[in-house]
Amino acid sequence: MEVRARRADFLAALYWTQSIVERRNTMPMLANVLVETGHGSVRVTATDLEVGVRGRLDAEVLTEGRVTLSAKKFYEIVREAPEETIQLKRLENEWVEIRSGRSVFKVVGLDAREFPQFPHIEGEKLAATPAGILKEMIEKTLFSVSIDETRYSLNGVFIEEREKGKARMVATDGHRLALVERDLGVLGLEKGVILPRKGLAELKKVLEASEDGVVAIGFKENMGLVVKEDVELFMRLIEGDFPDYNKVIPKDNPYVVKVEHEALLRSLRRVSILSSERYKGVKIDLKDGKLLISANNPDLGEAVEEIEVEYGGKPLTVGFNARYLMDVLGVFREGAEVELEVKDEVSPSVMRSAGDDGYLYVVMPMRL
Amino acid sequence: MASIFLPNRRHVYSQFSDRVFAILERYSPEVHALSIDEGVVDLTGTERLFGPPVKTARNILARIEKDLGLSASGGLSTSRAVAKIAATLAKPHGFIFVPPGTERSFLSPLAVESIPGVGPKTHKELLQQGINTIADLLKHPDLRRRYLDLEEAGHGERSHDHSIGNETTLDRPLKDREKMEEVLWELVEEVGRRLRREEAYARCITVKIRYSTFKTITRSRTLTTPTCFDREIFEVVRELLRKNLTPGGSVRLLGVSASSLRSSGWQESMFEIQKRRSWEKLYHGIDRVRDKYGEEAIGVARLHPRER
Repeated sequence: MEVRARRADFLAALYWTQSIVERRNTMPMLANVLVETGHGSVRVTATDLEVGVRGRLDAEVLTEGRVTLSAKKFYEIVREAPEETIQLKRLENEWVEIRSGRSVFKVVGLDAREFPQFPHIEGEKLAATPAGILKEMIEKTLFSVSIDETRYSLNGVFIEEREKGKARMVATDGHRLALVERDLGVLGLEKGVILPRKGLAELKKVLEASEDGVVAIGFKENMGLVVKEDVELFMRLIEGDFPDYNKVIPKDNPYVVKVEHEALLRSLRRVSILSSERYKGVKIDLKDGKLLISANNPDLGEAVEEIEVEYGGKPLTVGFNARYLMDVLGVFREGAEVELEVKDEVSPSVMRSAGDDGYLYVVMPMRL
Repeated sequence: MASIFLPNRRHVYSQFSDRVFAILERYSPEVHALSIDEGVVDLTGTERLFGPPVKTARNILARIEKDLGLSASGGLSTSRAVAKIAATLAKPHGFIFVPPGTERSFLSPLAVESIPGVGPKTHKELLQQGINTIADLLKHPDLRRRYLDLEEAGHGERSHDHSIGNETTLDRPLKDREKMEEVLWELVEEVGRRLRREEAYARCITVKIRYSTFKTITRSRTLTTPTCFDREIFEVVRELLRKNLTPGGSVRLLGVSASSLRSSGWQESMFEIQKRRSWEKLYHGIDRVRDKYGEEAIGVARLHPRER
């Protein structure tokens, strides 16, 4: 194989591979990218078997073929290359030569036949989806995904198709739950599937590159595939059953308080300075027209802040992990009022952003 | 403040433990069981009733021996940790008094592993930092605070003990895992009971297995949500046993302990909250019946251990 392409094009394609390649080095091949030729272009692929990305770039193909080489080193070499053109050539015994101007690198590769297959989904099975909305849905749920690897089915975001082209995404770590429903168009999903955290984090990056565009999205067996212009991303779906989330969404929390978004977020940031590093516990006291946030830490001291709110229910005290509240406030629409629906100090509370019926957040109180 | 610490080796689950603690409670209202055969008695303020604490401590030990025929050892000092270390050194059948002001000189030459709560793992970590003796440890304020609280207050908010544990040497060595699980269930019931009595929830559950060869292993699991419910503790204990038991190995001692104790500062899982709330009611109900009518008054039907 021998190809010649623009340095900037190589760099763009390699950029997506950097956070995907396997760091732990359990299988040496997974630290490599596959570079292959086809139809006057070059494709660059990386995978850790759970998530994979493939980028396409225009190139002058001198001889067809494929090579694999270290994703990290290839990226660094291209980034520092002195000229605008990069020439890549396969040598004997899986060695690869990278040439740019007077700079010549020879790096070791691995047999390209050993590189894992990229899943193939027929074009007609893909659904066109608005990139901006998909990105917003990921942002509003991804932070609630569990990082506890023993709770495998919670390590991703559940996505299911609702009626009339609506889709719902749900994430939970057992302590909080985020649910968002938006018009995403018909996806062709027969039942809900769980998308892995790493795959979604990568997808979010891809979507950020052009928010108003359209992406093609499709599912096949245990794979999800997203295509956006020259980038294809696949992720292995998480097997297992997502818990019945409808059961844990409180339907009739009687006490509702309305509070200004910015005021609540800033107060939480300040007061939580004195809450413990690990649990970030803050106490919220609700009384007539007032919401008090306080933190008490035997090693450091205490903090309290009062916010005027719309509240006429009975006085209540509930403990929360401030981190969990700040996380959701970070993705609530700025300027919109926040509604907090409470039942008592042990039952889950619900948070909403006023005017957005498609998004809700359930949070468990903290034992104080 | 004065504490006396009384460990004694004996068989689990006899009525003797209750009788020992009944004796302790005659001397002070502040009695805390650390395990079935270890307890702390706060003798602060008992001088006018019983005389100097040194005398009282000796009396307690003598009474346990006379009334119950059990050999006990004890330690007396100004803090719980020092008293426990002294009691362990006094074994068997001895008594060590560490007078106020001499705690540091008493502790300094001892190895760090004598500190309750410094297990094999911590011990190794400390050794790597060049900390061999308690004197070495006392030079590091952060480590001192963490492992050896000498200024521990006798009143006010009580910090939980490092762990609540229970172990038993078996009458005959066991090879059958189901039989071992039956023994563990009884140990778990006791641990659960004591956790609830202390209003503590444990984040870490440890199983100890000693084989007939005297090879001893301890295996722990840290939980996402702390627990004080027998059923939950047992699930963990059973799994640890299943994973770590050498097949065909003959076991002579089994132990269960609950550590990383706390009573606040965590969140329940929203998927478990209903179940846990009903357990809370169930176990507190059982505890009340037992407090009133004795340990044998009520038992929980244990699920027969079945492979899933």
